[in-house]
Formats: sequence, structure tokens, C-alpha cells
Amino acid sequence: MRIQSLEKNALPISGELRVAGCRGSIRTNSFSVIHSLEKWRSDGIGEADFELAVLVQPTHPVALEPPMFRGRDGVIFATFHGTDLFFFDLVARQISAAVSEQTAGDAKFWNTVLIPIAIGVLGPMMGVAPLHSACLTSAGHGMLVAGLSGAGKSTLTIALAKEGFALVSDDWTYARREADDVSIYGLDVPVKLMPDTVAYFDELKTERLIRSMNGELAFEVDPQTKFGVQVSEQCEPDCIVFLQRSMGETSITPLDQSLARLFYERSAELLPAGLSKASEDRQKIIEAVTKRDCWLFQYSGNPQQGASVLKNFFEETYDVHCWRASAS
Amino acid sequence: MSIAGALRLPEPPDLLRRFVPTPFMVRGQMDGISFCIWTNDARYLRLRGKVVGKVVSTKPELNWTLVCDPDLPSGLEEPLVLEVENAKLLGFGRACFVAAHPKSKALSGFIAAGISPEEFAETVLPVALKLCAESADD
Repeated sequence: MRIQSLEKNALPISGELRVAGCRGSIRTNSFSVIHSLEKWRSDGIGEADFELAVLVQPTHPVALEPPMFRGRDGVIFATFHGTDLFFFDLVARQISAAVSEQTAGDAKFWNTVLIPIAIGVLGPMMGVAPLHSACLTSAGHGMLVAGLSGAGKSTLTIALAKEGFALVSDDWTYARREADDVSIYGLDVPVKLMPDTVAYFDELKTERLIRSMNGELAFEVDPQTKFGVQVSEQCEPDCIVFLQRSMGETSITPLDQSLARLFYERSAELLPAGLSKASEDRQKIIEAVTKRDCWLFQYSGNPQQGASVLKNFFEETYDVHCWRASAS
Repeated sequence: MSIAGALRLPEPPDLLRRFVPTPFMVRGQMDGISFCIWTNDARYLRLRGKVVGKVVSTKPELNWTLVCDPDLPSGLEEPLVLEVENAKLLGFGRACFVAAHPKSKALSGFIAAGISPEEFAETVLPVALKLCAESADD
């Protein structure tokens, strides 16, 4: 039996992070982890909202092993690469991990996998509600795009970004209560597009499909480099658009705010009874977000046509003029 | 059909299997520590008074929620214990995870369904109880 302490004296290298408006502290025994998290580094942050303790040890990761997640009460267990072990203590807002040297130096893993998961699971304990939505912004005006799986949310999102919106997120966004309002954050993760989207975006013709974390074959691309679109880390939302594919005419009609609220509530993981305060906080943030205008966007045709209709509607309704990449 | 019906809103997911019911209870004693295991696997009932010793104290010292999971791989690997401020975290590779909170005398975790209750009692249980006993002595 190997016993490893993650106490402060065992992990002497430390740093501070800022992610989705939350302050984090990190302790580790390896500079590789600090370098991998460079993107989130912050100085002099005061009291941390969450703590990350990472022990780097000489194990050998198995790249093809799929990740695994389980949870019970206030604890979540996760494994990556077969040998990397993570424990999320929701009550203490602590992440404890033992990882290989290879994983420690894998910035892509930390930035696009671990940090989004950390904010997703610890978020409700820190006043952050993960929302199953894409998010775009233009001239300070934000738009959340929600929809059931398979509705074409990511495809429409890229088409909208190519119409001049800045992309905040294509799948999960993080709503944080700040002062009297709510801010929406993205975590700059790759955009995931299904194989059939290659029919709409020539840029994907040279891309290879990869096995994503949930086992689906998909394109996972950096939107800035692949499509030349703008990205933004954060925005304040003006409206929520619920996307639904239609066989009939394209239409945009008001949607009852209670339905948008219900959608976000039901797409979030249930929290255990012992975390009722976090559950209430999450509910309040969802209520605050869904006080915005809510629209049902039913569209047929290709994503470019849908994006054009939605862009014109957004510009007229909110008096915004989107910067268009092709016009530069 | 209402818009809510037409939108086919999903039920909240339980991707982490947090809410798997654990209706079966086994009480026992090992190395002087009495415990109570709540599990979803009826096979564990055969441990009653057999593999684990007879219960002496009337009140269990440790309460353990153990979910047997058919999707976890079965091979128990060398145990790794991570000691953090208020908990001890025990992993046997990808086949078994346990979080022990010595102060509240509570354990929770998952184990591969391919691991028999007897193997659990011989391998996992002694390690977890030892950890909790050491913490109590600290």
C-alpha cells in the first residue's frame, strides 16, 4: 500500500488561479503542473474559492483508457489515462489528485478537460451555475443558445461566429452571480462538431475525427485557428434562444421564461441532499439568467441560413451590429 | 401538445450514479472495529456473520455506503492512499474508490461488481478499516 500525503509540506510549490471569475489556489510537487496551468495564473488573489492539490508521481498513463467519473454524497471520484486519480470534495471545495509526470506536463489536458470539469462540479459550491448552452456576444450584448442534444447547437454557433459574433462557448457556459447581475463565462475549450457538419464547413475537410470524452466520434477544433472567428471569455446575456430544428418554416417566437428555466434545471446534475445550499444557489442563478428575453427559434435549411436569420433578428431587436470576419 | 412537451425537456441526469439506492445492510466487526455497510448488491448479505466477525458493540463505529458498479473494471490494483486535511482517499486502480472521513466515521465509495464480496472483505475492507483506525488514533 502506498500512502501519499497531500498536506502543505508535501506539496511545496504553489500558485494562484482565476477561472470563470473564481479564485483558486494550487499546491503541487512539480513545476510542470504550474506551467500547464499558466493560462489561468493570477497573482495576489486573497482567499481562494477552491483548492487544487496535485501530487505528481512516476506512473505510466494509458492514453486509450477512457475517463471514468463516479460520485457519492459530497465526493466525486475520477480517473484519467488509467492511472491518474482525482477526488473532488465538494463541501471543502478541494480537488486532490495523483497524476503521472506525463499528465502533469499536458497543458491541453488541464486546460480543456480538468479545469472545465472542476468548474462544472465545484461551481455550484462557489456561486457558479453550469448552463447547457452555447454563448455568443457582440458589442457587449450576449446571447445564450440552448437546445436539446442533436438540435445542431454547436453547428449553428459556429455559423453565427462566422457571421460576426464572438464565441464564448459552444456547449457549456458558466453563469456567475456578480454584484446585482449575472456574468456568463466560457472556458476556451475546443468546439465539438459532429461528423455530418463537414457538409457545411469546408474547413473541416482536412480535420480528423477523434473519440471525444463521451465516446462519440467528433471533430474537436480550436474555433479561432480553424474558422478565424473571434472568441470572448465573458459576457452579459441579453437573451436566451432555444433552438429547435423544424421541417416547416423558420420562425422566432417568444418562449415562456419558465420553460427556459426548466430546461437549465433539468439539464444540470441533481445534487445530493447534503448540498442543498448549493442547489438553492444554482437555482437562484438560473432564475436570474432566465429573466432575460427568451425566444424559440425553429428553423429549417442549413446552419448558415439559420445563422443569418438569427443574426438579423438579434441586430434589430437589440440594436447591435456584428463585426463580420469576411468584411475585414 | 404543449411547448414543454414539444421541446421534450430531459429529466436531470445522474451521470455520476450518485443516487443509486443502497438498500442492503451488512453489519460486522473486524480488528475490533464494528461497521455497517449499505450497498446495492444483495450478494453482500452473505457476509453476515460469516467472513466478518460477529458484532459485539450495539452501535456501529463506521458507516459505509458502497455502490457495486457493473461498468468498473474488475482488477484490484495496489492500493494508493491520498491523505488530505479532513479525509483519506483510497484507490485500488480503477476497480474501487473509497473516501473515508474519519471525523464523521463515514466512508463512501464504488467497487466493480466483478469483485466478489469475499474478495472485498479480504482485500478492501481491512485496508479501509486500518486507515480509519489510524486516523482515530491521530
